[in-house]
Amino acid sequence: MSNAYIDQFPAEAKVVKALFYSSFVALALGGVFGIIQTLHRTDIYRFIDSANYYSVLTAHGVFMVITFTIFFLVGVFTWAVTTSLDREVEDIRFTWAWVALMSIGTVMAAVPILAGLTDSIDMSAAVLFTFYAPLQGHPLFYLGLVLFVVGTWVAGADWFRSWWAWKKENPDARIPLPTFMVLTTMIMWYIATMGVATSILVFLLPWSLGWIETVNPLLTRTLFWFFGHPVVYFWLMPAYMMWYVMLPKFSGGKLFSDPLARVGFVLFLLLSTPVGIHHQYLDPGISEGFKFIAMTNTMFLLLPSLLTAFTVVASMEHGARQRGGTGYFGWLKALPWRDPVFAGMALAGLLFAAAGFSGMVNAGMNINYLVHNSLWVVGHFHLTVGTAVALTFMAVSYWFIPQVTGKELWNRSVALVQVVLWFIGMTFMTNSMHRAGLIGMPRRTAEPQYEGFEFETAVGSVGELDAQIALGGVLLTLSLVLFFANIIGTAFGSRSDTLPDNGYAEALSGSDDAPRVLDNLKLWTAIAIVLVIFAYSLPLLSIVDRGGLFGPDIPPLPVSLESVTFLAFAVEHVATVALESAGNFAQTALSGVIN
Amino acid sequence: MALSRVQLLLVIAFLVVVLVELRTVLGFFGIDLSATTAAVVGVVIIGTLVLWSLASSGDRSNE
Repeated sequence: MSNAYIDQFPAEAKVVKALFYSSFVALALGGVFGIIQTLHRTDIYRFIDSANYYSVLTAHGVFMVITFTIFFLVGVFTWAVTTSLDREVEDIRFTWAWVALMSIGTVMAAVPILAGLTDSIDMSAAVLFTFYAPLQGHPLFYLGLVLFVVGTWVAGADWFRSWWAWKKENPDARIPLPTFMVLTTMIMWYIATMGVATSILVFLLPWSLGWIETVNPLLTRTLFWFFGHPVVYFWLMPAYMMWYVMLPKFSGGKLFSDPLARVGFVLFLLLSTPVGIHHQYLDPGISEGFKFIAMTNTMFLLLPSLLTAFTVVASMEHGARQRGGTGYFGWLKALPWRDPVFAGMALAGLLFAAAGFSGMVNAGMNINYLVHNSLWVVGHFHLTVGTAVALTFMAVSYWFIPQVTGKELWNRSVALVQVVLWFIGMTFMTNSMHRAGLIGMPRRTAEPQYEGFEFETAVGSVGELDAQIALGGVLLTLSLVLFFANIIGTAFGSRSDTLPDNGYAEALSGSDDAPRVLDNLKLWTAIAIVLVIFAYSLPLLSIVDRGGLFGPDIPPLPVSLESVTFLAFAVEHVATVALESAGNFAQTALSGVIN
Repeated sequence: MALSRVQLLLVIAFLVVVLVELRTVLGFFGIDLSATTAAVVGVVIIGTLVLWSLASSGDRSNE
């Protein structure tokens, strides 16, 4: 008899397994749309109409960064809370209720996106992942998103419920680190989703239903980015959690510092939300001063990221030295590179460092102008969510899936090749995307070729960049095929009694070394809200003041044949007067020069 | 083998990254390497690594 998660928490293991499988379905769909899009954009192979490209792009974005990531992370959070508090959820029916809410929401949002690919159904939601006005989707898309987000809120309530029940029984105990990470992430998520909830419920949904005529596009953009940047941390914080509490365990050692991990998560809670305006540096309706504040806050976000880098590498080094590693860099050889879980997570962390550097360029107000809305940004987020998050999630699945199914992983060698292939594929793809962005190649474009204009590359040619992007996409697709082969092979395997025990890494410097104030969630929540008010109240007020709550009040123009004739006469008159004045001025100036 | 198969796989993975980026870096110094040359250099370097690993004494293939 093993002591895996399924043996400790059989009912919860079913929930987590269902969540993981749901996320993998989304990953498969997102992957298919990803390769179609890559081959189309690079003009290597086009078999869809370019008008449908935007539905494909929406499907790739929504399935990958909303459905795949969030279904997976809520599974991880359920595992983290139950394991670290060592208690079952309070009511498993309540848990299944939020799983159902999220699933129904996903199907509702997916139907109009996919329907957009066919003319036989009059429904579409080609609004891209960044679903703000003026792009308008079918109401079902917005309703689906609402249900999905509400599902995550209820999930958070489920975990808080577990923690409150545990706290009653352990009044003086410190919050176990994994639960602390779940709770801080969820508080951040509650604050962040206020923006998107307002945007959908007050503006986009009524607008798409025809209840209101117009919206203020800048307001919906700003509310989207209020949520759009912290959602990145909603994906990243579970990946960080895996690096903090699992990677040291797989390295053979302990977490270097529990207090540093807590500080990192508190800083993410405080700083993730009041930064969204850095996505709007080129929006003319927001004053420079507000953008400067957003930039400052964004730069502060580097601090918890660097803390994470230090703590995680120190933990890995500790593990390697426990395994006999020596020397300044020699310890790297002692790490368990043969283990696909470790190798995948370590490679994801490595590419995340590159993402940090390109992110600093995005965050800098002046240098952002160089790369804004170019393919550079796409390269950047394929390193963050596409690698740091996705590769970490896939790698750690090789540990989680046996834990929740009770079955051995089908093939560890295939798993290792899969994570390495993802690393190489993503390097090809993102390197060329960054370079293409530097020469101004736009994003969100089906056919980035223009009549009478050629992009000039610093090195190589546009054809080579396209080939590199397509090659990367093909390698990533191959990697996904290997991943699914392994998951399906494992699912159809037989029950094993030799699985590793469920658990997470202990800490060298434990929670007793952390100041108790770090566990004061009320305090951090209050500060986080105050920071959001500082960063957003004035910009939002000024946007509403200038453009109106439901869009500017534009008086109807007098459009008739008579008015056109009058307009033509007026233009002609003004032009004649202007030419006469210019002629007189030139005459005066010339005579002045001659005399 | 001087390197186990796993180590070899990972070293090749890192080398591919370095070789891809090397062409861009050299471009900043005015050294233009054609894609074909870069590919040939890559194949030679990776081939040499594999041959060296296979030819070296000590069996670590099962590590």
